[in-house]
Amino acid sequence: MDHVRKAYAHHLAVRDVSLSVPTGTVYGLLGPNGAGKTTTIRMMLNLIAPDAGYIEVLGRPAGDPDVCDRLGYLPEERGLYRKMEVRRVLRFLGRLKGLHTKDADRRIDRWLERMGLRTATQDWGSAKVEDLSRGMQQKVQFVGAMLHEPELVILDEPFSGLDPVNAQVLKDTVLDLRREGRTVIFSTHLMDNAERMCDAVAIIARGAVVADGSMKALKREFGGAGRVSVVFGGDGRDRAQAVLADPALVCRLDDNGQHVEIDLAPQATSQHLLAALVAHNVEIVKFDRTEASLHRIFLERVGATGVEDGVSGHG
Amino acid sequence: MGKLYAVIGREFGERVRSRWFLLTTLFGPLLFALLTIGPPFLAFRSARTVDLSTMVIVDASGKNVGAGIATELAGGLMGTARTPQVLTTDSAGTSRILDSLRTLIVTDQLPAVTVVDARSIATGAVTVLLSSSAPIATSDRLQKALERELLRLRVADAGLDAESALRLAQVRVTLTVERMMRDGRRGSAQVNLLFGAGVAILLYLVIVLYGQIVLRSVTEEKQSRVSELVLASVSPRVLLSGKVIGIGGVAVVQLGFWTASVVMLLANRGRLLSALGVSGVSMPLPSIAPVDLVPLFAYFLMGYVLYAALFAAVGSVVSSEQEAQQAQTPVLMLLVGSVALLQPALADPDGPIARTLSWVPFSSPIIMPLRLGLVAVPASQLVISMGLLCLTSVAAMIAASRLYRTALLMYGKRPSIREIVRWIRLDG
Repeated sequence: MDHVRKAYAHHLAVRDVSLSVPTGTVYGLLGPNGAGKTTTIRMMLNLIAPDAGYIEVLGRPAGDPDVCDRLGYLPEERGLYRKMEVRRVLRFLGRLKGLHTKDADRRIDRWLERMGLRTATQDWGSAKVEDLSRGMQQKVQFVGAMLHEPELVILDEPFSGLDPVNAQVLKDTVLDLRREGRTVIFSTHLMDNAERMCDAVAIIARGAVVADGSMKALKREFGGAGRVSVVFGGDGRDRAQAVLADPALVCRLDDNGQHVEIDLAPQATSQHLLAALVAHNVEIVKFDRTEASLHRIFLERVGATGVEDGVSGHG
Repeated sequence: MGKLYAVIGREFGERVRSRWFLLTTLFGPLLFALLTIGPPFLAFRSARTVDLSTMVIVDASGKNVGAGIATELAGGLMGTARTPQVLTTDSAGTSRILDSLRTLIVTDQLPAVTVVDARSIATGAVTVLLSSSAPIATSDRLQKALERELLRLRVADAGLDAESALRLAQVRVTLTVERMMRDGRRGSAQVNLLFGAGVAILLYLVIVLYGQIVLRSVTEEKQSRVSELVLASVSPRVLLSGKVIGIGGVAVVQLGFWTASVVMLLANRGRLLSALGVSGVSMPLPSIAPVDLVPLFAYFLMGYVLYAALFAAVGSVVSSEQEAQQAQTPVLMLLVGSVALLQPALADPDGPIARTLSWVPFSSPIIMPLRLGLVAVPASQLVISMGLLCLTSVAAMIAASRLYRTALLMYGKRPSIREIVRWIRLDG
């Protein structure tokens, strides 16, 4: 995506987004609600046209009919034909992606089994969509996005509404896709999932990319001088007060009583901090050097709200 | 094309498999059968229950007219050997006899009492007292019997040969009006009028019914958010075309079944009534050659496409079925307006109103088939009308699919007319 912009009648949904997704990776689109994630995704899929900028997907301009069948999409707004039988819905979605009925049927059975919707005792494929729970419907929709074995899978908030068990099934499947060499883009505001699964991310706020790159590069660039986690013993917390208040050592502090998270000042090192604490005779139970979490980077880059005034309400 | 077939297949297949389709498809001919066979059957059934051979004739004519009438009504419809009872009296005794019979009539123990006197022979005035349960058809049959008997008496009084005079007097005029058309067609004016009006109303009903189905289908897809999933795989134009064709296919199947059933019912009406023990006749069918049905079918198809596109456009800009009910009013008004103008078009199918309405694309699918049934429409008028309708239908489909692309993903506030126009002008 190259300097893409999209405005609606009364608001600017995407101000200026440029990003490049490496092939064969799991790529996270992160941002608060209303940041422009869904609009960005819809433009990738040519569901809506950008006002400015250029989008290329799998080496072809977005909307190219050849590209369409190589994409799999799970929208944020979940929906299926409620009165239709699950297998017939999936067959229809498969046919829309160019699959023949026989081929589709074979793959449907395989995917239903993989997602736990077809067992020796129960076949949800024969049920009507309206008879399925919301989580099951979401899995059916995910199967619909995967049937044609797409090269690029785009998942918009895939984990919302899923219980922990089903969320894990989905995570495992996404990681399997990466192993198979497919590219997965997913939007989320759940930093834990993104940190565990993504090779690279883009953080979007106020309709623009505020940080992007591989996870390592992001932490290197935005992770600060270093991060230390300290657990005090006895009256250690009180004795450490002077050290923690020293701006030459500490840039930011998450104070949880006996347990503190410290972002080091630019010129300070963990050795300097440890030496200062020992010099003040502070009892230390645990001293651990950690790297900045994606959550922290996200909060720093996005700021207080990260939402453009008058946004659409989509991610 | 594979994607278009997939959309058509879903729209057609899911509807044809539904119970709703089966019920409405069978209900149409069933209703028609009840309307065409039911009334004569019921009338016949009720007529059989009245037997005039059980009536009483009070004869004060002095010329034994009562016996003649009794012979006419002998046996009744039940085919028994019974004849009406004749009470011969003079003018003075009539009121006394009637007083005694009145109670029997009021309590339905006697179906009718006929009073003939000397005045009846001169003026034809006969008094009949009917019980409350006797149907009006009873008096028709009685009147015919009285006419025949009084005529016989007058002929005899004039000294003429009664049988020859009666035969000569039996003149029954059957009016058959045939409309001669410029294209050489001819046919019963009444039948053609009924056919023309019937086709126009049928097309109106089918277009409204299936246009509404398209509207509901679009609203449902938008409301359930499934449209975003589908639009990621097919273009809005393919989705809309598939929907209109698929639902149109259901309409064609249903309309075809209804038409075939109605034609078969009309052609075999007499046989069916006979099988039910009722003497009826087959209804005359309009003088329409199969080739004449081609323009009717073309008008139905193009009219359906035009209105389906309009209904789909309405469905794409609203967010719920309740909103859709309000927003569809302008489209419905176009259709209802065409039907409201059926009356002047029927009265003068070649007049300026009918001609103008058969050119306007929004009314031509209803008015032109009506005119085709009634008059010979010049080929030039037909070509202009069809051309305009075809162009408008294509334009409506293009506009609706452009609207589709933007409006289907918009939820919440209904867009303004200006926004809708802007979306339509955005090229796909």
